[in-house]
Amino acid sequence: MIGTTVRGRYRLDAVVGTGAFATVYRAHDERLEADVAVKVLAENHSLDPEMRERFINEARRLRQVDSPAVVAVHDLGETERSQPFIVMELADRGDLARRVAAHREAGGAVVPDDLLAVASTVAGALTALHARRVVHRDVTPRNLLLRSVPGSPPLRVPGPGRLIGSDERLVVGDLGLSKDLALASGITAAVGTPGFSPPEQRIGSGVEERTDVYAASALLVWLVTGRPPDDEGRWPGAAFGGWPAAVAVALERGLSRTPAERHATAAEWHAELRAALAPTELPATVPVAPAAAADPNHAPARPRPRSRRVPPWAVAAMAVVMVIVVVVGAVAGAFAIADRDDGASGTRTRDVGSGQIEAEASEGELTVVIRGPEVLTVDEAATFTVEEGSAESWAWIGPDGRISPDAPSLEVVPESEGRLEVTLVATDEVGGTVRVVLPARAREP
Amino acid sequence: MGRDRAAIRNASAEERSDLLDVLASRAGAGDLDALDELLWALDELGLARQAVRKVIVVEDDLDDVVQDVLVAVAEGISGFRAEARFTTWMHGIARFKAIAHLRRQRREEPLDDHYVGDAARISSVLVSRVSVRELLARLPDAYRDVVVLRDLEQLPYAEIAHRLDLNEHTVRTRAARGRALAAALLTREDG
Repeated sequence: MIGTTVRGRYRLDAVVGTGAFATVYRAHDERLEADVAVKVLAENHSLDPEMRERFINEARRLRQVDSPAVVAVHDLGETERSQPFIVMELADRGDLARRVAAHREAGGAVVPDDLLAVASTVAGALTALHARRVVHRDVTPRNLLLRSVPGSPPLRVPGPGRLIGSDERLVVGDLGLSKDLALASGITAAVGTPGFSPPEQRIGSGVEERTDVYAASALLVWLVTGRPPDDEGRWPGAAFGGWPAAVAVALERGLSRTPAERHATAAEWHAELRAALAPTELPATVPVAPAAAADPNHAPARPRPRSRRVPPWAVAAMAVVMVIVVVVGAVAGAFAIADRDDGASGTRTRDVGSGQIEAEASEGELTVVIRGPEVLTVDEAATFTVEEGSAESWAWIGPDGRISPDAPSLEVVPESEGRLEVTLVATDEVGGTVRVVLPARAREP
Repeated sequence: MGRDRAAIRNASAEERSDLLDVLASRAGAGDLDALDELLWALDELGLARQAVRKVIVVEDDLDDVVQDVLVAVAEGISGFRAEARFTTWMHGIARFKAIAHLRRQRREEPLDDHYVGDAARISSVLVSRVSVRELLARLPDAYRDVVVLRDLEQLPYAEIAHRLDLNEHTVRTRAARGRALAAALLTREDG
């Protein structure tokens, strides 16, 4: 669909994300002359009544929410092929998963202010959503989006810089309504975001505000340790270096298996974290970085100067940062922008000899290669294999639409002549997804 | 009649559901007045439209699908079971009709003049039936005139509006509901 203009208005420029049920494009709104994100429901699901209803409902619910911390919805429409699409503000600076990876690579550490900035945005978004009785269901690093703030000059500092720039805004992306359904109906089998969803969501029972509190806690665990908790909500806990015990206590409470034991509201969750991260009195000689706004109702768009107080553990953390700054030296403004648009989201195929072809697709650091015969014979089994993959889990989608999660290979027995496609959808541990499609054909023996 | 309508219009959502359930049971048992009231509520209070909107995005498609829903409700009402909630039952129909419309649209893109939804089908059945005037005679007056002028005489809506001294919107809604009622009568005779 790249290059086409939907309904004479939205020109689709590039794919910025693909999932099993929808594709997100960077697009240009020709009427308003602005770049936007357009999320289109996959053609094969757009006549599925339940999927369609959820997708449309998601747009309407998001639109009702008024918060700078929640992605803005501009329009809801339908393509010429009856696919509903949602027009949203464009996250031109990518997502938090990519950002954290780039930040760490540039030698940056995640400091308490970063944690608080992320917690504040998430709490603000969830509070606004919950006020409209909407459970988000998909608070994950891939779904926390970064957007440049027009008109605010970038504040560049030597060294790795801050995780979120002064000229950027963090917003919580679209809801997981449709994703949940895709999961429940097996469409995305292994392609959910394990690690960020609590037990009740995984078994498909009563989802409520506390479901999001769990996900938000898992997100912060991922932010400080680099990994989400396991399915039981377990994580290294207090063992994670240098952070105050009160932070671990707050996160553990948020990760309780029983919803009733978690914080009742996002605001309560935020308050406990803020208190846990609150600075204590220190000698005024300690250098202090500007702190992000910590009000849950406002996205941390600009740093706000705060009193010269810093807790002892933060001094230790900062010392580490200083050392890294010295070592890394003049990686000035090494603010590697994690744009999801790498122009490489499509599948590339190549002939590898002996009638075999390989198809490769990548999304960020996640690359997947599958291999299989280019020509199959009717009524004879052919095997497709995963050749290379940094994926944590994946699912095959056979030509007949059957889904086989996490199998190293897929056997296909064509029933008739013609073209066929074998698809593999893979996900990494932070919920990034990549879809690779191997085109083949079948002929009579 | 008027009292029923006022009651439905002013009812809370919960009371309205109850009133609709009662009407639907009566309509299902063959009470044409009850069916008329029910179609009025679906159409005039926008209940059918609301249901269709859950699945349909484009405004141009809404009217067609709403008409199909009215006809499908009228045709299927004898199959409505009192254990179910009427609104739930109707939402199921709306969903089904919306998807059917989209399917047709996808097949026929660009949408041609031979679009055959339920309302269009009933309209052409009316034209072809010999006994149709007999059947139409049983429709309430307000609907009969409009359906006769529209589906038998094939006059444009604007012309009918002019002749009956009504506005065009009223003519359209009466044609839609009249067809739905006629559909119910046809179903009953065939069954």
